[in-house]
Amino acid sequence: MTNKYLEYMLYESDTDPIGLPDGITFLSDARGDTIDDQIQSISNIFRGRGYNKVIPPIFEYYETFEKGSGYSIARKSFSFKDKDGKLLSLRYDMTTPIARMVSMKHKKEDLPLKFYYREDVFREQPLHTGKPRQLRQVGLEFIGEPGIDADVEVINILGEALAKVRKNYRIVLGDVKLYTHILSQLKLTQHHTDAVNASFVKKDTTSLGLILDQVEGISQYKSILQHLPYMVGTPKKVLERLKGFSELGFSIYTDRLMSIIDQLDKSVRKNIIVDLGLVKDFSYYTSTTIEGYVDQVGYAVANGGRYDQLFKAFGQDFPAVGFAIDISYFN
Amino acid sequence: MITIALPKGRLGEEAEEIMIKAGVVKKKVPQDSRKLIFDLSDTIRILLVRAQDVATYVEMGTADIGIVGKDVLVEHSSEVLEITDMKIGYCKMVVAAKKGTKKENLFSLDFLKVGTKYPSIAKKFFSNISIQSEIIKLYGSVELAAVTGMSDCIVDIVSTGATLKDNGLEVIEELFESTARLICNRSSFYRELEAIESIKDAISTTVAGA
Repeated sequence: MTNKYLEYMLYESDTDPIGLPDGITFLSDARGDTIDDQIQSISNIFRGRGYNKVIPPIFEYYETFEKGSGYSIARKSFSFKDKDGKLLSLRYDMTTPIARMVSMKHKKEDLPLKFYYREDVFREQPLHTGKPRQLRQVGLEFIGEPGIDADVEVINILGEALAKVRKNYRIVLGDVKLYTHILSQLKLTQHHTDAVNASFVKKDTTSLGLILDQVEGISQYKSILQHLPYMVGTPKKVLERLKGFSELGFSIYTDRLMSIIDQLDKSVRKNIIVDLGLVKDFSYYTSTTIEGYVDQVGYAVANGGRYDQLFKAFGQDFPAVGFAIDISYFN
Repeated sequence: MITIALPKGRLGEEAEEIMIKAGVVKKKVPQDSRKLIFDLSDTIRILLVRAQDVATYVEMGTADIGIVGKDVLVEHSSEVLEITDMKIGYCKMVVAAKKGTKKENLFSLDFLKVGTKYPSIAKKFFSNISIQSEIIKLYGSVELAAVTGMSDCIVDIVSTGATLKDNGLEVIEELFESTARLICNRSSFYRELEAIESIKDAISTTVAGA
């Protein structure tokens, strides 16, 4: 018997070795420099486009995150108690803290405001799934402009930033207005709405069909909902697929998205995929939704969209659009 | 190149038959070989993995698509796209207990000991109907837990029900029906949209025609 044997026997007991918890890394190899360079070059793009850096606190009140993103997101934040018993959370996302700050500090006259950040966010993940719980993010917010110019600017910058890191990238664009309009026509219960949302996130039309069978509603709306998850592709192809439902007058819900795409820089436009069935886990998106993908990474490396309702949670009514790039997934 | 995570065993072989009919692949991979990676052509690579691991390979992007039972997907709540129902590997997720057990009696116990390979599904099911449950995670032959009395009931999948019957158990409650799904990695779906859509369409057509 070697000493090693004793060591392994201790694995059976509950004593924890000194180390790091799951999903956390202490990076000290060459990747550190690479990540630093990537963050720097993306930040430079943001700053060059007139965005100002914000440095938010690492934790604030749990309530802020629940108000901004709802319980289903906030419950996945790392939470602990303040001395006076109030619940605190490590920031789950950067958009919510920025929206809270802007709502409390700024008035309508101060708009538009353009901010960027390069900070870490913290998210609970199931054990042993290989997902980071501390994500390095670089992102920006364009606050105070309801028109498509803001969306165009933000998506162009995202394209430029992704191109800096990887040669091949794709930006997926959607607009949740069409989806929410159809849902509103079907008068679903909350339970059914949750189930429909879940099947959209997975593009699971089998389960979606089973749910819709239980629902009363106009069959044309059910039919388009059933097809929506796969209205994906080039703008031309998606509009073609939508044509079959033209009598329902859906174009008012897609015109905005199509105008945005028309006005994008040529170099960015060729990397765009439209997905009218794109439904995201953050409930605060109200119109344009954005995801970014690159080769060799199985997850979305960028997430964002227009969130004109978020500020209402903090007593203001400001339109805004933004995105975050998860640098952790590149390396 | 599209990488397919194929589950070892009968489900994988049935899936291969559908994929051959659909023209996605030309031939089966040898399941008895020790090799785990097969390049079938310049465009298709097969990874032979355990059924429980298919969703993991696909979610992380190591495989672009894969075939896995809905039961496994529900248990692991993996972030993958479920692009087609392959309508094979049919089974039901059920609560089962010793023959003669009355549902009212079982579900009125203060807390239930539940033996299962599906701890997450079992926990959520009993919580939803306000029954306190203690989950005993097992890795196979789950019936034994109920037969020996180690647990009050089991949560498991049944296809014909023969195993339950042979062990003196019966179904108390049906949770949901499960079939195998063609799943896809989110990033692969958008980056290889045309290739994946054509596989999805070919398989849906084959499944619908069979």
